[in-house]
Amino acid sequence: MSVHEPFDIQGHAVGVKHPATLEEFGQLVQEAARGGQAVYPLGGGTRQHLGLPPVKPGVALCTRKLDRVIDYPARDMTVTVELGMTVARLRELLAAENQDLPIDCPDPQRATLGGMLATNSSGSRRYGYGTPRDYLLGLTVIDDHGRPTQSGGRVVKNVAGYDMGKLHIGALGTLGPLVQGTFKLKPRPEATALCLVPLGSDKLEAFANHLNQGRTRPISMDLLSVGAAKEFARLAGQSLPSAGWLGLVGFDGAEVAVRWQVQTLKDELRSMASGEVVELVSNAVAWDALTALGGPRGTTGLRAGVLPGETVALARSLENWAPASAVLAHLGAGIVNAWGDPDTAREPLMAQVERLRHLAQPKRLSQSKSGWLVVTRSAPSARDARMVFGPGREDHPLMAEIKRQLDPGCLFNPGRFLTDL
Amino acid sequence: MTATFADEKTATLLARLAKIVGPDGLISSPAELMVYECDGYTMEKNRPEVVVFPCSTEEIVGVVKACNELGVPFLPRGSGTSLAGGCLPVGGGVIISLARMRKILEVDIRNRYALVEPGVINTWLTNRVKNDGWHYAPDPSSQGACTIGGNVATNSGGPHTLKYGVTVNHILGVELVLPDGRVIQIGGPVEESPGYDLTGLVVGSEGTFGVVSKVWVRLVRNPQSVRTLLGIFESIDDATMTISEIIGAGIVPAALEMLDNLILGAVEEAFGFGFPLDAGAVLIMEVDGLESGIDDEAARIEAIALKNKARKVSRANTEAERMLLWKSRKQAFGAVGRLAPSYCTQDGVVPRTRLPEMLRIMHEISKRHDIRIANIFHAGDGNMHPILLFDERDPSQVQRVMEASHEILDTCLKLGGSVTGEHGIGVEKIDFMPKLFSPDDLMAMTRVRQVFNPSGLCSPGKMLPTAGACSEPSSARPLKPGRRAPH
Repeated sequence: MSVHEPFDIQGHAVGVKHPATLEEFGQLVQEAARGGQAVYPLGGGTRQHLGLPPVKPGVALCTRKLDRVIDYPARDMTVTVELGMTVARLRELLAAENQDLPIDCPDPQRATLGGMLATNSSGSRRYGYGTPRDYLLGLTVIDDHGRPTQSGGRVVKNVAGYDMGKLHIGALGTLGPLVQGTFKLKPRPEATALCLVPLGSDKLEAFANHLNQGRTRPISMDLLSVGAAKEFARLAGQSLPSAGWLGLVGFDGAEVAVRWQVQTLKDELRSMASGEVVELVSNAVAWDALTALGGPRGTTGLRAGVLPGETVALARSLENWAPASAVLAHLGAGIVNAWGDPDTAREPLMAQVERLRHLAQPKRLSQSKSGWLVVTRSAPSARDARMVFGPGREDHPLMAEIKRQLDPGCLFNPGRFLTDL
Repeated sequence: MTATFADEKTATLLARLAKIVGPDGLISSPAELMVYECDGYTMEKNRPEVVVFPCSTEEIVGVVKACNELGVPFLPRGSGTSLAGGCLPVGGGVIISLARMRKILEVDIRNRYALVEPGVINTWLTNRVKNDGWHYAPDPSSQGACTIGGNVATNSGGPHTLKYGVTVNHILGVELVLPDGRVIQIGGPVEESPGYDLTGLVVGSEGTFGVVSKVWVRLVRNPQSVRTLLGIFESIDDATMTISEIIGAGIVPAALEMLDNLILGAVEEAFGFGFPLDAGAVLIMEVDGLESGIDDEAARIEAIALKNKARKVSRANTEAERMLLWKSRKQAFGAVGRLAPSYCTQDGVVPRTRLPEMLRIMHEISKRHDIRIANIFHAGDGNMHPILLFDERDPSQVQRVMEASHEILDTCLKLGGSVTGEHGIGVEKIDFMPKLFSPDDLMAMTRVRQVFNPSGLCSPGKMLPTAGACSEPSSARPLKPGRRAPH
């Protein structure tokens, strides 16, 4: 075990330790608990801007040395690994067997699988492939006594016991550090394609509606505002057909099926698009650029969820929400990422966020269909639970009770998630 | 005195419940209650005191509150098609049947979801949206009878889960009546609301977290094209090698189902599909997707089957032929009655590549215990459903079936698998939980159950063994399962 430079978690310098085994990890958790210290689980440190700043002195326990392959029975299409392994490293391993874990995660060279799960990372391909909850078969976490506890298993179908793994996905490490997991895998498709669709601002809704009923079956369908399209072009090293909104539609599968879909999309959208529908040539780079676009950008980041049919309206409302603003909307899932550099001297961020939150939660929608908006990134000083996550929902007290049961001493990431989690 | 007290308590309970659901909304005579003594797992039975049939969330709340006030255990029940005793009323008490909550409340194709009451039969939902070109993907073999609420409780699978995922992958949220009578919405039609994924936790909790009163489900577009192939094999080994090779080749079929010789005979007699009775095994292999490229994929599968010594590979040429093939598969359990007076279905899982080994061991177990075992299963997932054939009037056979079942499940664990892929732990497999999980693992699960069900009145004696639990409910005892069938 070695001690490294402190890590900055939202303006708080936290000392880092690097346990190399589950036993060491457990001992450090026990040590922290005995000393009244908090434990801040840390992977590659790429998504620590999510959630709230730490509220208690503590130690960051880094998982990066836990990066072994435990079992990779490729013919069973599952893999069991320690979760300090980076996303890129796993991908490399899987590629050797022509397989993949199709979850989009920005900064894959640094991001760990544990962090990918804890932050419920997803991107454009979530429409076709789902999210981490659709791939995690088994999970080991370190509990508040420093003991590894496990749920699920290593086979693709298993309903024995409560699916505790689901609780930990997106929990920002508040229920314990994630140290080992088993994933279901997919074969790598024979071919992929990403098509650019230049769109006039009056055609956005028609574009989204069309994709839902057209003859093709995309694995991703995104809408990029002018700002996001420019950033995408820069990252992908591509030139853009026009300076308006941009639709991006992805396909994969057998070569012949991908070819047919690209051509069909071009035919179907010919009159709707404001210019030629273009298939990107070096599409591996373009896919990476699209994933990277979901990473932290601008001084302030927002993420919102609405019904898929409301996505375009929300994306348009957020298009110019702040100086240098940009919007990336996943049309199939109803998820909108927005970023920019809001002028907080003119109006406090809290007031701006509350105003935007009403867009995702319009009064005309019943409570059951209400959307949400979280502030993924901002100056740490401005962050509190209400501003970052919005008003509480009726299931939050149950979540708080789960936290109290699994982490009664509030050891793991105290104060960093919703109130009381 | 005790009997009088119990009678009085039952009378009070019945009067309270009748006020909530009306006199037509409950049954309590022993003859009527017999149906509710067990589910599809008939080896253990126990009679509830009463079965209520609420028609609304409010009525469920009323029933749950009354049970709490009187300290009576209760549990939800759909159609009772579960196969591990999930809706066996272990502690007696009240069964809350959701059979009268059968409305499809909302279908929203643009937003790809439907909102249904828990008693909606699985297949009704697909029938409702199929003309729009959509469907509800999880398709358990009992889909003509089982309810969406029951599917949520057991996280049901089905033949097409190989490609499309199990129930949890298609549930967006639920309305849940908590065991103390509070009603909460968990998740909903909008994806990914901030907080813990309680929806993912509630799916598969086997009714131990409360009564699900509404369900938001994901709807899926129908594939443009489907090709269904039937491979005829001389031996089970050749069929399982074919499965392994198809998956290994990077093909994800929509379904990959195997039937062995024993079950083939029964199915053929029942449905007359034209299966050859001398085949060692058959494989139903289905691919779906875009028309473009689908024939190539079907051809690849055919080539793999022939390479692995398939006697013949044929295609379902018409939709009618395809439907009959699937009917033969999905209703095969109904045909088992032709083979023996009683049967017990198991639900073991092994890593796909261990299937040949597992089937060989199963053959030995069958011989050693002198119990015939028919096999029909989701081969692509490694999820087997060995059907142990016996006569329940012979206690020695019942004993041998139990022993053989346990040996099969122990072997699944030894090979790195699980004792249940889709039927659940229920009461049947509760003793296997300590073999699957450490005391610490089980403690974490018990802690979570405490959050939802602190009094333990909701579906006691399920899923988690009492040993190793930190604060098991006392009010819900006795936790021993009911009498053993047959009696």
